[in-house]
Amino acid sequence: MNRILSRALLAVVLALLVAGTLIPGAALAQTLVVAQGADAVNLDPHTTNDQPSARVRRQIYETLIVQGEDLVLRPGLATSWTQLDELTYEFKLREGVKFHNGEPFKASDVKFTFERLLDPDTRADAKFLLEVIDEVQVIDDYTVRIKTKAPFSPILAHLAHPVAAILNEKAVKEAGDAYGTRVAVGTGPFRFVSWVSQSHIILARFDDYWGEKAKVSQVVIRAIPEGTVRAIELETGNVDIAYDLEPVDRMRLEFDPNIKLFMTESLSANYIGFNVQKPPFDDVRVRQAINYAIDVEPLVDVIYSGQAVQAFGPLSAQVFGAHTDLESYPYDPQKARELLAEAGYPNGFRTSIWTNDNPLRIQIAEVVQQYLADVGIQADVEVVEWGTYLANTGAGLHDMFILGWVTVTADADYGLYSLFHSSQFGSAGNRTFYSNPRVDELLDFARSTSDQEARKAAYFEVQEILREEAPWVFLLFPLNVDGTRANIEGFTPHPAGHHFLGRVSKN
Amino acid sequence: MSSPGRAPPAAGIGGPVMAQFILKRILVLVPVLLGVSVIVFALLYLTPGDPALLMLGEHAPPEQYRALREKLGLDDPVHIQYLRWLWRAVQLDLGDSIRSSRPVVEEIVERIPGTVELAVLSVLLATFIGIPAGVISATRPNSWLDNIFTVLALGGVSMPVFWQALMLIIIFSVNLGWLPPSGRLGGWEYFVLPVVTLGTSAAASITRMTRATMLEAIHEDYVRTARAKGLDERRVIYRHALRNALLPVVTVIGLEFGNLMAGAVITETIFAWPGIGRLAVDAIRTRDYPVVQGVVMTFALSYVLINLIVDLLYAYLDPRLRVRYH
Repeated sequence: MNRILSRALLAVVLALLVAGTLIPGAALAQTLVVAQGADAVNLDPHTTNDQPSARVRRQIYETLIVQGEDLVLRPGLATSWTQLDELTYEFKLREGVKFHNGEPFKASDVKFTFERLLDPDTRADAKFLLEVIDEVQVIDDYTVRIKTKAPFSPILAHLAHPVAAILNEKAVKEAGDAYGTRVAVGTGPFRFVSWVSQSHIILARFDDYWGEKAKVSQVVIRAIPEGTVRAIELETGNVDIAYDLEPVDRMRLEFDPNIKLFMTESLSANYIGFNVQKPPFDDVRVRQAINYAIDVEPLVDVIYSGQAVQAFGPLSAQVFGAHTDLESYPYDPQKARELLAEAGYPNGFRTSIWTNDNPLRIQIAEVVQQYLADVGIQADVEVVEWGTYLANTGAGLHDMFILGWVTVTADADYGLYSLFHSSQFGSAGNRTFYSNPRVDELLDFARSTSDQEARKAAYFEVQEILREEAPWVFLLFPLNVDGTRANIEGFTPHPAGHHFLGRVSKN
Repeated sequence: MSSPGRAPPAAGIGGPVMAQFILKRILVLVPVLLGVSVIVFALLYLTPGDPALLMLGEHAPPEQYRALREKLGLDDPVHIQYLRWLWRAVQLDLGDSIRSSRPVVEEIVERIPGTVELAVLSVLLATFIGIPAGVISATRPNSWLDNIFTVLALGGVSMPVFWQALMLIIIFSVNLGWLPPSGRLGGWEYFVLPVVTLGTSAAASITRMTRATMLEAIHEDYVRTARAKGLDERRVIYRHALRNALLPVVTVIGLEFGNLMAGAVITETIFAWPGIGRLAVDAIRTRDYPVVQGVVMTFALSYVLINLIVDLLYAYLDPRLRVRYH
């Protein structure tokens, strides 16, 4: 027995010594520890298009054009750009920029990057964002021309998306399969050091950065899936910044003097869509009636615990082209009943609401079911597993469905085209199968002209039509909630979720 | 009815009998793993959801979707896909993760250490708590000490891991500030809470089994003989009774270890501990078929290996088994 005991003790001690990995310099005051809800998947922007990865890539890579937290487009790796004709933009590139491996940034890297992104063999998830690009021409080391297949004015906003990050040709080719997991080379203020899968990623300040150097010498991005534990880590000071705090934790931390909370409007919209080709939803009065029948305020206050704002249309206020003057449907069950009677359904009808297994959406469905019952509509709530949900709504098998859409480029084209253009039926995005020739015309026009005012006017008209025609019940725009310790300065959340850490300092 | 005499002290292991025993046990691995692989394949293809659609998300144009299905070979008949996978698996190529594009073997190997650490330490803790508690309970049946241990054991088994973990974090991290709330960032302090969470749950079943088998062993003839010979009580209990009582307990320990290798998902999630459990759950959710298959095969392999070790331990503890069961 003693023999076993002592051997076991030895094993325990050895295991503890060998276990884990040490964070170098964790004791330095200049290390910023950030916690998010999931680990990055791959640091190569040409692989997955997920937010945890984007949040890390944002610190390492840069794009030609930068979209700041105010969503204004500014020069990034490109110092200026001009539109030569309706299909061609010319970009002047910044000189004297170094990649993390010491290589100079040149036009050939831009060409390499976009060709790799668009190559079908790369299988980049986000290829669709820049698919409109036909060709990238190198004019000289610091000048490129990008030609599109059709006139596409949102191209500038798309080029500011983190997926358009510029890679170093040499680094990518040399690393081969290891690129994105063991190697990631960019021009950003932080360089990639190491990655312990599902635990943390370590970034270090890049001292040869062309712009304003980062204020901290090291960033550790930790993956902490459980929301409450993430908040607790912030409370105990082990973590300096925690992303995506849940309402329960937010309410607890609101009164903590050591914590600063940031509630920002996001670019997402949650909605209930109708299948407008299926009766009774082919009658606009029925769709409007349902909009009047639902009171969105309790959804915001109770289900989202105040972490959302009522939607007035499909685009949240942060998006370029959002028609913020639109009036959302007021809660008016009487009007709803009148419209239903007018449409020939004085006694309501039976229908179903589909949702995936997202707990918040299920709750929304149940509350909406109640409101519909009040005006005589009997709605069954069906919870469908995500994969099946996408497939079946894509095929048009539904009556009503709850879904969300994130306008990642903060440009109205992205938030409207796939959702409401008649060429995008089904899995492409238009799951309501809505079709309106005027809307099609306006959307096509707005993406081909570069006159921003004309675009805005077109988008305003589209949103007014959509409000009237109500292919959706416009529900809410969720708010992002992030928290930092009180001694953190310079943190400004980005509505798209990929917050920039280059200006963050720790006192 | 008394059992046929007590076991002789363990003779040296080795020799042709033992070697044959081990070889046979290893050969059993093959059909078991094949059977598991077929079942895993069949199950995955019966569940709804399309990996290509899940990977590409809502915005994907139909051509990209079709191209991806072709690339992944999703349109081939199921048995062709299975054979293709099997052929590669034998060469230790489990394919690439659909989600991260990294080799499945790499993903699994990266996360195994985390799970193994927790499993080993938790089982050790559970054993060091469980066996002594069981012995004490058995030697003083129905005493106040026995009753306390019984209540604790029941509590350990009934308490949801989720709740227990959060309670420990609140007490020891938030209120007392003694330990970090989560993470596997090096240093022994990160191990304490997760190991205690898992170990106490496993300790419960070990305690109960030890108590039960000890109670039986103490009433055996050979124990009476040992006492009659005048041996002191401690020697009687530990050298004679416990050795024999340990056989079923070893089985339970093996089962707990197997469970921990496969099922520490909740603990891994709450403590942000990188491990196989989280990998499995994420892979299932995203229909990452190659990873799910690889992970389940890993679980099966570890269960079988643990069983082998338990069988070997049995043979060590009771030499009669080497002869009787080879």
